[in-house]
Amino acid sequence: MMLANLIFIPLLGAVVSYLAERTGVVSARSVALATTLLTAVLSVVALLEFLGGADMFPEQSRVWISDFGITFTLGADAMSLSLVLLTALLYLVAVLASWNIGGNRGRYFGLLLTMEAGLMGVFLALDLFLFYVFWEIVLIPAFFLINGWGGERRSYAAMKVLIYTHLGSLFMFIGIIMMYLKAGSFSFFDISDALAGADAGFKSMVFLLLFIGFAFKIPLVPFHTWLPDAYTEAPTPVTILLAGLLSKMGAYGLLRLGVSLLPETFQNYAYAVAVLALISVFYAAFTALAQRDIKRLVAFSSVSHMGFLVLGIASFDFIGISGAIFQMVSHGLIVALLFFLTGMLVEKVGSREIPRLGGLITRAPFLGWVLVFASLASLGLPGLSGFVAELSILLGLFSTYPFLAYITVLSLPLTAGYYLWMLQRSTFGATSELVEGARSDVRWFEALPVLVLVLLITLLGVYPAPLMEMIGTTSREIVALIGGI
Amino acid sequence: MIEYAWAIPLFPVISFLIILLFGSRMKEGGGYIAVGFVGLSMLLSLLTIRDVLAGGRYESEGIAWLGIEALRFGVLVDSLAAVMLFVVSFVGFLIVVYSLGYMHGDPGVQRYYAEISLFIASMLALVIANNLVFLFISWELVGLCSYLLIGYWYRKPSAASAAKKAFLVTRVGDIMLLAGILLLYANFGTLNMSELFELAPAAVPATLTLASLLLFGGAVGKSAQFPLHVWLPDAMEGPTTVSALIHAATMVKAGVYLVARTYPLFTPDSLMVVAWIGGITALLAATLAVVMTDLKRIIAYSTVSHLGFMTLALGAGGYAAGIFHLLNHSFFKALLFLSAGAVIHAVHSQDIRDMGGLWRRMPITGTAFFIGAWSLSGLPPWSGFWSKDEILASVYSYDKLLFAVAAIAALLSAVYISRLFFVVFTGREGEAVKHAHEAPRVMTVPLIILSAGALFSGFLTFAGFSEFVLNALPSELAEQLAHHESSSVVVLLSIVLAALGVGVTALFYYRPVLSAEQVRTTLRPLHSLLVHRYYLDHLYLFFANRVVRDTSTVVNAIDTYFIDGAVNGIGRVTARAGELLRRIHTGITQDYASWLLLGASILLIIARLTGGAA
Repeated sequence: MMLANLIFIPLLGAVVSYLAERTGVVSARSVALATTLLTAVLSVVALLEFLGGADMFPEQSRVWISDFGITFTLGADAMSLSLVLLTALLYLVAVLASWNIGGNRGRYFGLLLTMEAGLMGVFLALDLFLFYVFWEIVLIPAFFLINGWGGERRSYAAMKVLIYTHLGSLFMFIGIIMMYLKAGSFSFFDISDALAGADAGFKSMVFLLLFIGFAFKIPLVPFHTWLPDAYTEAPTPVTILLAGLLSKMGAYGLLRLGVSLLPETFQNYAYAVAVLALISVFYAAFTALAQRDIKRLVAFSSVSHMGFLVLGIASFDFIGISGAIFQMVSHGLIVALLFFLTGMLVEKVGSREIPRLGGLITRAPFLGWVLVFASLASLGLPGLSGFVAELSILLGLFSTYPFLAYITVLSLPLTAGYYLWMLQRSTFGATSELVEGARSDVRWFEALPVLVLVLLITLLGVYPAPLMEMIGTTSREIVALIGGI
Repeated sequence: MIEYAWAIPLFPVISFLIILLFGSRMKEGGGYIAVGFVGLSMLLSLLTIRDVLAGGRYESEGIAWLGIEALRFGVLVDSLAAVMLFVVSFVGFLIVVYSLGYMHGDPGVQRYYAEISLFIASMLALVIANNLVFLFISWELVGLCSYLLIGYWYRKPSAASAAKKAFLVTRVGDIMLLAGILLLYANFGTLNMSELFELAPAAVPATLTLASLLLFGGAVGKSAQFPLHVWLPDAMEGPTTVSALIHAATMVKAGVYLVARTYPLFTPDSLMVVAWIGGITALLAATLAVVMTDLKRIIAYSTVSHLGFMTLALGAGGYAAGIFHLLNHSFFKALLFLSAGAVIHAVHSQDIRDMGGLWRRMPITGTAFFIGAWSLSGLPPWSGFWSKDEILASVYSYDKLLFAVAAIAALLSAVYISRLFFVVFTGREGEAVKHAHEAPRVMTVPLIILSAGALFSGFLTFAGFSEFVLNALPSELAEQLAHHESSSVVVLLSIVLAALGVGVTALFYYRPVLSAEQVRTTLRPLHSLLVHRYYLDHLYLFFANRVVRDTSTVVNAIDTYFIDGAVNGIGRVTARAGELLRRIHTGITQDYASWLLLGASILLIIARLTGGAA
């Protein structure tokens, strides 16, 4: 199979769904569903080929713009494939969550699918120019989706995302150009070879540029303030994609470019990166505690968990990095579930304000119990996927920076605190006036994504070994770069 | 059957899944399914225990849960695990049966039986786990079930609040346990307990002390030891069956079990901390139990106090005594809770001042409570006497000051439990008692069986219980701990203290020669201190509200006004600058020409001032 299909099919689907709605032959949402289903099937095929032992790193490479050494090189390792599968899955969720979206559906699904093509491209590209192009392709539809289908303050939020992440991309782009000038090629492999002999000062410069770029995207405090506005204002399906996938671009980029291309440099800065990530963990947790809007609470919680992920990367330890990659998948699933639920809350109850939702579980038991489940998953309850990631990250971090690991552990009751406090006020207790009038009906296409996510979060939590072993192939190679196991 | 021990926790997992999916369509919300599968689990446990009694010990190879060797999860069954397996599966089974009567007619029973099944499964997994992470996972799931069951009546704000409190307070302990696990992994590269015990003697003592104290931190949270005991009395918001099962007989023993399980990792230094924490807990909780007026809270504080005794015993080297007390306590405390449940069921109140003279109306329950109380009071010949005596003996040879602490706590045990008995079951009939009647058979039969346990489990001491339990430890350590001669002074003192406690209390509450009211007035400051539970809850509330939440408010303000404000500020400045620059670009040629001339003049002036040639 060609990995390129994973990019071109969503792109084709984007065009077709846009035209479909205009001509009225089929509905845009059906095209979108068919496209995402096909993409999901192809992702699974790619996974099976990988598990069957196919070497896909790189899978194909052809000259694109020869004058500048730009190639069309795609490839996948375990980390890419994990994210490709996550993308395929969360797109199914997002399409189902968009089923009754208002406005021009042709344009909406067109933008949504264009973004999928971009995401697949980011996770598969092994040419840095190509990587950058896909990176930008993701950003533009995100802007229009927030601006066109968002909440009250949508233009502010959309503009903020655009400027912020473009600023980030600029740093990253300069870094990429510097590497290109050194290697005379954009190919991941050529650059990797060229950087091996480069001097340390140059590499530090490049690393810092790349790191700032990714820190905007992940995001790490203090580069995060675009996130709460974007997550809160974006329509539910887009929030799912922003939190579940776009944040992973930053983490993926950090591992693929920052760590894999510049391992020793990264190692020099690892402690500083870890401290910054640790600040993110606590800062966002404290901020989450103060929120009254569930969606904002989850947004800050997401920043906190991404900080955890970066701690895993910074540990530069086999289990720690495996844990970070596992966290990409796990956090993607959990945060998608949480945002899906906040969307349903608004639809069924009419509010996301914690104090107005008291006693939710009495009137809407399905919604209430899944919210309990998702909160427990997010706070790292053992038996669910979030715990596996956190445990691995802590094991890794402890063997590298024990002191930081002790401090990190202190954040766990805080996370439990804001989630349980939220549940106590919003889900349990006496029913509020608003909740009394809530609709409790849940239709099958609303329940289906919820149940699939619940099942996956549980399966990965109960028996993580298969995914962990697959991820291990990538993290082993990364750690080998600095002479680890 | 010992090699099938892995299946013991699986039965309740199956009933959890069945009840979760189909319970709503079943009789009693799937209660009979729970009874059936927990029963199967008990049978398999008993068969396993039979093999252990015949000298068996079993450790399975397990599965690599995370794909690495250090986290290979298997099953370990030895004599220590056998004792705990018995407690959890046997008492658990009786309580599930009792629930059929107690929870009958409650609208949420399906959820109740699902959560109870999951609880018993996790607890059994915790008992037979051979890897610390496996243990930790079960440990947390047990905590989750406790959270859900305390908040079972979630419409009550007090229940929702108590559930959260229990989860968060125990979580403080849990992170210490987790930190201990991380430390052990970093130092030994494995988390398999048998392997850890082999490596431990060669390790740096300071590391071991730190690691074992961190593990003990987990036990302090779970087993409600000072200063993290505050969640347990509030946990009484749950159904009484839950209090009996989780907050008396099984879950709260998990902490004590953890210390016993990882005993070879403890150093003399860390054991001293364990002993003192246990002693302080035993005494403090006993003083509180004396002044409370809520039926369940008195028993809850008594539980805290007796958990303190067990911890104290382990710390003082009375390994077998501590485990023995764990076993005995499970019987008499479950019995006390279940008969208290029958009382609450009958009188619809938990305030003991509403009660009195219940004996005549509820003879079976009254007798059961009487047996439980007698056993707990430490008067011979029932179970509580034997284990308390062994504990006091080991503390006596460990540290005299601690012995004094433990002796006072033992005296107070006799005081509060006899006070409870006299006030509830004897004397004039209270208002709430008028319409009380005996509980149904499904509730009284478990009471009778537990009574038998509370009466006779103490005699196991003559059947070589100590030697049996010590088998679980490495042989050198076991030999070290085996020698504890019971001095006759201690035995005598222990009996005199218990009798004194009961006798004095009778003068207050049975034949009121003395007035409790008068004592309260005389010792008002002390009474006030006790009623406010030593102000510990106030301190924690202060920390949660003034420290954590205020920090959160400040950080949020910084985020909103400072960081985001700066971003918006930069945005505004840029926009304003753009606005200004835009005005310059008027599109009128004359304007551009003026700007050009202005610029040229300024350049000339600068050149002249700096002395350049013009």
